Amino acid sequence: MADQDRVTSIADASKPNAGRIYDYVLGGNHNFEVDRLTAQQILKLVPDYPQMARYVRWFLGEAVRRLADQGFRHFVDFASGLPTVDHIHQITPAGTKVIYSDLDPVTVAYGQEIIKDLPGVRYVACEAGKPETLLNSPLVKEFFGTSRKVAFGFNGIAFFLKDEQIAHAMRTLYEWADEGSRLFLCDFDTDASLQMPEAMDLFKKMGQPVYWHTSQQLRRLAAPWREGEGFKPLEEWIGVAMRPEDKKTPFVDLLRGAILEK
Amino acid sequence: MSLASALLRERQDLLRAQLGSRLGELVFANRYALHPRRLAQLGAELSESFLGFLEDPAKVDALAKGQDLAREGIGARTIIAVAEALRSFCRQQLQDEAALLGPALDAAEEYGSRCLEGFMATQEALILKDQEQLRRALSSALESQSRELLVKNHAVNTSINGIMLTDLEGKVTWVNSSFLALWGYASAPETIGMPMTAFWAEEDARRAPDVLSSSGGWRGELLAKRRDGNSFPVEVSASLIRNEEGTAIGVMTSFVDATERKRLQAQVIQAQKMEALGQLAGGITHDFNNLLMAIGGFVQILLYQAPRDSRMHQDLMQIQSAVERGTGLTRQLRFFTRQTTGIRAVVSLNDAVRETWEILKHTFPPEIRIRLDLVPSLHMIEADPNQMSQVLMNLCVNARDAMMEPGSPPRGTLTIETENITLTAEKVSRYATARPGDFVAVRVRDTGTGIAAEVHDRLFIPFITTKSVRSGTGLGLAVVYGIVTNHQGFIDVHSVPGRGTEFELLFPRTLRKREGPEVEAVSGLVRGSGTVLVVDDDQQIREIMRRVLSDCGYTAISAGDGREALERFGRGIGIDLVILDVIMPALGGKECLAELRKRDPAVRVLVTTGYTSDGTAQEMLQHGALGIIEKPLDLKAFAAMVARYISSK
Repeated sequence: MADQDRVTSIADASKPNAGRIYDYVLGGNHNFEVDRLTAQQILKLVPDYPQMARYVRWFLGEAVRRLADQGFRHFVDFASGLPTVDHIHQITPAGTKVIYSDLDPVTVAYGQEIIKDLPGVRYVACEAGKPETLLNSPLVKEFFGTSRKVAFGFNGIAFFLKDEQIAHAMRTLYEWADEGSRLFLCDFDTDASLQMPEAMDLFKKMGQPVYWHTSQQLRRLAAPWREGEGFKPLEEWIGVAMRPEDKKTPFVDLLRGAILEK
Repeated sequence: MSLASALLRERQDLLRAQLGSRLGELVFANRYALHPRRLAQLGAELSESFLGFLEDPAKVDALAKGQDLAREGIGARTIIAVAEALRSFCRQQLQDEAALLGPALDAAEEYGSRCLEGFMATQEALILKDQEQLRRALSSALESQSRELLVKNHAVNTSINGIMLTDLEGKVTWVNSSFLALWGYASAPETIGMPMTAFWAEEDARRAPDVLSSSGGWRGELLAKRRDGNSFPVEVSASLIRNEEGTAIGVMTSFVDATERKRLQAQVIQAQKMEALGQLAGGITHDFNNLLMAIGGFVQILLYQAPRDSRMHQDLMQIQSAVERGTGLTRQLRFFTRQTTGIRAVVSLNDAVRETWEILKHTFPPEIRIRLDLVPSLHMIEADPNQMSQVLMNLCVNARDAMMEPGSPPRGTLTIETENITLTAEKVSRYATARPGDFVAVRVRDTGTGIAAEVHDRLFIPFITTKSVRSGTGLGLAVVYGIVTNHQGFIDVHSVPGRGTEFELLFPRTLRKREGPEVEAVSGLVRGSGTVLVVDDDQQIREIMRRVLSDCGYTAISAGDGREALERFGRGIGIDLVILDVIMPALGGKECLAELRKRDPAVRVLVTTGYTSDGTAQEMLQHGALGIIEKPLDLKAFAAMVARYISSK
């Protein structure tokens, strides 16, 4: 489906949602029966999906901790999911301003409910592939003032986007941001040779087909962002390695993260 | 207890390390994704909390600690493991202190139990709270989605474009009200389930669904079929409807009635065609005019010389008559090509209609009824009254002919009506070349044979006539078109074969007041004296003017273009009047006039031209020329003009 043909996400509790499945495998309560049933199907095909999901979230925690230590106080996060435990606003020091965003309207509504009493946090609807809708909104200027030195979170979403969507988002964010800004993202370093037809089909049926990119492709798509420390395995970033016998699929080993620089 | 506490506090680092290690082992067992770095901190916090509890259970709220851990995302397995690690630590460190071990284990048990109790209670509350929050979020999202859907639904329903939804088999599943209005259906249920091909008049439209399925979208123009069987052109824009997975589930087609656009497009094409024809005819008319002028001029000269009762005089009269007919034709053509503007006076079309009626009532067959319907306070227009009369006469003659079928007695009604009309931006969109404003309309309507549809496009083209070769020149409507266009007006034609035709002419209203008409008397072939420089690139015209001027008593010298004229002018001969052509090679009339005035600001110049509507001649008047002599020359008028301007020196 062409980017412009994408159907705007709708609130539908009768259909499984990738975000709520992610919540379920992490032990959360923000999911419906249909999400849990689909999660069970996915877990049969990808038993280490919960570990993989944790690595993705840990990488967010890792990147945010590092960036907060470097003095970043403005964060814009895409495909945020539910800002429950160990999310940006819980990690960063007081006074930090965070804008979360997501495509799923239920997630957005929930996110807004969770952060409603927090003056330094906002949650808005935005598709990660079209960040301009968020960047051009009055909220950003109102919230951040004239400063555009920000840290962008583009974590665990690249595999749901096509090449042209990633390239567009990266270029848009780069052009908007001030010199010195950062962008952290993670993705699987693999290509179409990775055959997981049943799992792929499940995600496709949910309306969130998965697209593989190699790190080399991702580097090209992320240009002109500079690579910083490079695309490293998430285990290396976090310092926690799974036991080889617990690895049921190649996914965890394929996860790469990077903190890009402008 | 304080002794055990003191002993264990000495080994707090070990406890911290053991708890950290245990928490690390269970890094994947927590809810959400408690970061490993946070787990290390938690190990330290738990060791402090437990040792504090050991020292004084009243000072540490183990229940609250359990609650915090639940909120932080610690899993149930982890908290049980922590309690176990605390007991294990006590056993390890106090195995040789039997008196201290029992109470320490009891304290560890109690601390663990309270933690777990707090943890479980909070977990339960969190689950309920999360579920409630999720329910509220879903409800809020659904509500906002419902509002958005309502707006979208309303927008699609009330769109001025016709919209049709079909399934992949091409059966109608939904249509909006504009669709119903366009196709003439009373209600949507009448159309539901119908194949979309039922709404098309042309065979090729049936291919639209195939094109769509392969391309995902289609734009084009099709001929639609209304419920009553009538057809009309529509602009179609169709696209596949896809679900979230990207699978096609139907087709949405949007329609715009193209009737009006096509009509306007045809008007524009027609106007462009007429413009091109006008330019072509203009060129021919100009050359033909010059030829006629040369022939006519020499004939006039010869007529002055030939005895009136001679055979040659009679023959020359025949030639002159033919030239006059030819000149008449070119004069008419010049109206069409807009080479002549005529005069502009403030006139009432009612007067023009009444004058025409005076002629018609005596010349039209009595069986044709003539009806006038004139608005009493008709607005004024700026026009040439003679040209207005000619327009009306041409239209009325056509109307008469349409009511005189060969072999049948003439019959019918000719109606001429006038009206004040204000064209709004909306109304003006009916006409390709119109603009909004106040107009005066005159309509000439007959009840004759009407005009066949295939002739409509060629109606105003010169020399195309439906009449017999003898009765029509094919210039009548071309002249009407030229005159109306030249007056910034426009024409609308409505005709139904067998029922009649109506020509509606619209002229822009003027707010100027009517003045007395300027009547210019033309004298005879007046004689005079003085030196006249004739400048014209056409040798024959130059020769006629020179001959006439000589015959009238002037000294005439001539030049073939502007450059030659300047040479002659500079030779020290006293030139009283210059007759200067506008369009010439080498140096044109306008440039020549400027140079002449530089040399002699008092120079007297008359301009000759066959294109009075061309701005150049008018411009030359503003730059010091005294008047314009129109070609083809009327020798009497020419002589009078020369005498007038040379004598007013």
